[in-house]
Amino acid sequence: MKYLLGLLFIAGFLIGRWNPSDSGQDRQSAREAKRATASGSPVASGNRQPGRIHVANDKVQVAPEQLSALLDFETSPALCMRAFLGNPFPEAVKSLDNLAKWMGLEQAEKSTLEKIIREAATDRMRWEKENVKLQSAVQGKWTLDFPGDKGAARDQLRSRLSDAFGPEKATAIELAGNLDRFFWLDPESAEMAHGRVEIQAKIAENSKEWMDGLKIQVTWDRGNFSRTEYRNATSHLADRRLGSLLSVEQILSGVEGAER
Amino acid sequence: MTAGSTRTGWRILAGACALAAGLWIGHWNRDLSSVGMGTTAGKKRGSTSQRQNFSDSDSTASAPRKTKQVNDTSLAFSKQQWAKLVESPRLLAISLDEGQVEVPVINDVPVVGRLFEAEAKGPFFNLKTHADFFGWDDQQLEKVRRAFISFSLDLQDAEASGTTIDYPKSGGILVDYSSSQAQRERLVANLKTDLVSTIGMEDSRKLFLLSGMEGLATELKPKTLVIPNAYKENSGSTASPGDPSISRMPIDRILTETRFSHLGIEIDWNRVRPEAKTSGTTSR
Repeated sequence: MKYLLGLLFIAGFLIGRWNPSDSGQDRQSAREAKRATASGSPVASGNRQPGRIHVANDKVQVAPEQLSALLDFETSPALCMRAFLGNPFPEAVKSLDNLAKWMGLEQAEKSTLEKIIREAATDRMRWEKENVKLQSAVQGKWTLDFPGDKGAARDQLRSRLSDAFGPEKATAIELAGNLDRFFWLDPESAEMAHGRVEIQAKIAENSKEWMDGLKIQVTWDRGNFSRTEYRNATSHLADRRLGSLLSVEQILSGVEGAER
Repeated sequence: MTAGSTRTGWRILAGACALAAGLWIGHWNRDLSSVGMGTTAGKKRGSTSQRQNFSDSDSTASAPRKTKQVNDTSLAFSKQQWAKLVESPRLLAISLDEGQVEVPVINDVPVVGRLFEAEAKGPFFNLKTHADFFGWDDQQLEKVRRAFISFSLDLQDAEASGTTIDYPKSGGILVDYSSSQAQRERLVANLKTDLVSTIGMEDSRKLFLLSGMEGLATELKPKTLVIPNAYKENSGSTASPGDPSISRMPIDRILTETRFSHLGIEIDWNRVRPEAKTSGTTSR
């Protein structure tokens, strides 16, 4: 009898331990899927755990393996608004690819993310066309005053991401894509979601073709910080954000010596 | 009901209990072992024992047990630091190969060597970016720099004494770095200790990961190099008749020799057999 009980116990133990589809990876992904369901994520969970990048105590916390995976990228996974207006820029494609790879997003998730990002960029662009004040006091010189939107665009992007990916994964995506800077007027500058952009243009004296000779100087100014970039007509056309607010045609019509 | 049938009933009940207990414990045991697997999943980079050194000292954290495996090993960055990293992923990458900002190509080329040939050209480790990022003072920066320099020297020695080449029948050159493995791991461990005493555990871990140096302790696999153009002489070269041995050496041979010169290895080209099919450099 004792032996029988012992045998039954062992049999039970083995049956309990055994699982037909058992492998380390299956278990891991099963746990991740479980966690994803628990956090109410409507999109399937990727390979990497979303919790590997999160914020705690006002610091960005990241798992070591997630951090060292960053080194695999030659270019940044950070996303920037002006690359997501209109037809995809190579820059936009690359950054989105990097982000998706780093975060282990599946194709469907990546498409969802791209759709959200494009919507956010387009909506903000529409808002800017209505609200940015364009002035030209002197010939060949313009100012674009970007009023603050009190973080409305940022908040809307955040909530769209959260609805699509669940709060945990949305936060990870925001951190990985540096989305705090997504709407910055100039991502290279100090924080600048609002402020003044000055554009000065002239036609170079020795140029024969007016398009080639157009020299544009763009200055992002935020009081204690300013950065200047020099452009020609082509590079200004490529900036779909500023280019939509002050087109090359507008610049040409306001510059002395530009005859068409 | 008879005494016998009562007894049978008890037996069946006891059997069922034993089976149930077994099932429950077995299931629990399975979950437990799967949690264990989760914690080791991230250790594929770098040597496990070295990684353990870094993780152990963090295990004093008073976080609840459930969240422990995530929080214990995770690294914390200020938002400014984080933005910098995401904007330029290789900001802090270090290559011991060139002394420049680049990740070492570990399984392809030895990691050090050429470094000290460049010494005459001035400071080869510009760790200023690192100092800015982590907020080191001048003294700390100098200590970190020295730690890196002595590490690279020792590493070069280890590689030079621990690398062998052979000429397999299948063709090409077989370069085997594996005998310096243990020495390399020791050196990496020493470097970590040095860094921890200068910049602390947390920043040392970050530096190791972000510089790409964590991989230096991993095994360099034996590698077969096949040099496609090493067997024909430079036809178009305007060779000076006085010194045909140098000027008529195929460029691929010269490049290959440059690659290993710092290890003190001389390649006997007479023993190198061409490989029939493969073109380019392949690894086995």
